[in-house]
Amino acid sequence: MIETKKTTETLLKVENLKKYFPIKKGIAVQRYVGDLKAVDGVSFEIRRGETLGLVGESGCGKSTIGRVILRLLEPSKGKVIFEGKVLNELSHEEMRQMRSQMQMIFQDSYASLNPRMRVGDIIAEPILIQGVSSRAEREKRVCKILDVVGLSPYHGARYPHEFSGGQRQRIGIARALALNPKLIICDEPVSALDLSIQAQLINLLEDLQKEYHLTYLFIAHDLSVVKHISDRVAVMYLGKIAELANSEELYKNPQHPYTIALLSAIPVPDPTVKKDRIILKGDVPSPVNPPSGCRFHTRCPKVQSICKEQDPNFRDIGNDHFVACHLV
Amino acid sequence: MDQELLLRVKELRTHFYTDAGVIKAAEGVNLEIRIGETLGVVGESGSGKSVAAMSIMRLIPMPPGKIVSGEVMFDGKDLLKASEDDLMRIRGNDIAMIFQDPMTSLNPVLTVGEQIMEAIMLHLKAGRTEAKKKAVEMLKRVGIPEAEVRIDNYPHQFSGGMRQRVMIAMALSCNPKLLIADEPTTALDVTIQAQILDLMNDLKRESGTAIMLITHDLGIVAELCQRVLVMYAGNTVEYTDVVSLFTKPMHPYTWGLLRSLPKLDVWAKQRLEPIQGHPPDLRNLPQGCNFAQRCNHKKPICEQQKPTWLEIEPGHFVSCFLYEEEGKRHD
Repeated sequence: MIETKKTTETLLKVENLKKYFPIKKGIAVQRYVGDLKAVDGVSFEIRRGETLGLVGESGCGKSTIGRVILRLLEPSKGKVIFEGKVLNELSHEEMRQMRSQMQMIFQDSYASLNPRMRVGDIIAEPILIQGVSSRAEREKRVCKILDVVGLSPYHGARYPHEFSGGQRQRIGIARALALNPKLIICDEPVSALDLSIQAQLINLLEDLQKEYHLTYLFIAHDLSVVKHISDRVAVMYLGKIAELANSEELYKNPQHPYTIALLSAIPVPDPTVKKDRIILKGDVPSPVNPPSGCRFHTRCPKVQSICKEQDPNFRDIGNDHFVACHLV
Repeated sequence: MDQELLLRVKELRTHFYTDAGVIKAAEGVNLEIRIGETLGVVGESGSGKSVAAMSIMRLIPMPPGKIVSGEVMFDGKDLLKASEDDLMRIRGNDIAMIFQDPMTSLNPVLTVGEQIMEAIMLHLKAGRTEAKKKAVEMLKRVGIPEAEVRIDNYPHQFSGGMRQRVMIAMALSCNPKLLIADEPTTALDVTIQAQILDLMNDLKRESGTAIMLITHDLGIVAELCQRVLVMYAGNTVEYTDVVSLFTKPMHPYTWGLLRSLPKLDVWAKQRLEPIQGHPPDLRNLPQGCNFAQRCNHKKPICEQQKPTWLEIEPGHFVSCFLYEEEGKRHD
């Protein structure tokens, strides 16, 4: 069933977003030789209170999208609109204020926490920057946030290396929560964790979403985790969205040949199930020289001649289900 | 000893002596692999899966590591008592290994051909031309296109999935009786993982090589393995055939693992049931069962004594006090 209690109000909208990284060659004189098209024309919206899952293989551009939304990277083209404001047109100062409403959780919790700072100070820093000058007030808020993510106040006096991977990821979540954001971009937040710890963190993210009315963009490559946590799911391939639909619809009724192959490739933890697996041939092509027409045509089991010439439109096939494929 | 038994490990203990204390990385590992069978070894990071595999190959760096006690019977020989010369003949020849990260296990300054040929010339006592022919043949078998050309490429010229194919070609070039694969697809994308798993299944069917597959993915276990070993904090906690593991798991840790798995075929919004807490510090293991502090079924005895490795049903081994009375002691 489609969950009706989620609002359909748009919180964030991405319009025809492109991010090209220039490739330069030469030692003394660098000359421009081409572009790496990490994100190449992506449009979608995130609705208030929902979790939008973004899946795809490595190098498909899913993390780049997360970074461009926060303007940690400037887009080459296109717009990101948050609550009606076009983020790309804001000044640095305006953007800095805006970032308190949108935060990020990273995959590698060790690399994203300053090893020389105590955990309490790491979480207090964004509160300080936001202008809470009273030390006592900051400490009170840090203690509360630590409690919310399942840590104890005494943990605030420790350094990041004293924690396990799962606990460090809780610290990353605490830092993201410190400013009461509306949107949290979770970039592979549980990929590095063991199964039993991963389940703890997923439950925590779900609890926090309910309590603080958070909206998540959940970037991951694990399709079972994404299905579990997301209301809607977007599947990316080589810089473009191939399919976007309600989570149940996407997993039950996938339309794009890439989604179908991706879903069939997941090993099922049930030895009595024998499924027909679609094995895609070859590797993902380079985003420097993406194939003409539909980018998936080099590996697609159903390829037609039109696929090699024309890039398919990303269109609505009804029931809030979008697909970019000529054959659908 | 069972006629079909290829490898039996009993009560293997491997410790690492570091400045920060003694790390008991493997603390009672028991397993059996039959000829031509695939054994899946599952467990979280630090549970001792890789240390067990390295101990079987006697590849533990000593110091700081030391195999403290135990028995590793391979093909009728105790590898822990074998001489270094014997081991040299067994490694690569009878037992081969592939690792998670194919880039660090391939030599970047030699062509892949040189690396595959080296193993063939050493173990099969072949000449250069013969070895090269065999290497091309192996690369073709693992599905590398234009093998005659690619054999002169360096590892960096291959993609991640292709590198893992090269590793598999190298490992299988001497027709080993046992292939130890340590997380062979963890670093790969789902569609590439499917290619490699498919390949390993085909090769196993053709060559009859037994595989010890170390993984943390229960889906891979269900699809590829006949038997499964579950490890936790250096101990083997459960060993059984793959269907029993999923239909009637016995150890509370296995219950917890299966429950914390997000399911693809369940449509109602469900909540995951994680195992509370964290694995114990291997330098400071509890007096009783290593899982006791996270276990919902613990009894007073669990915090005082170590459980023994018991055969509860034929072929189903568990180390847990819940079954201590009904099971018979396995020797």
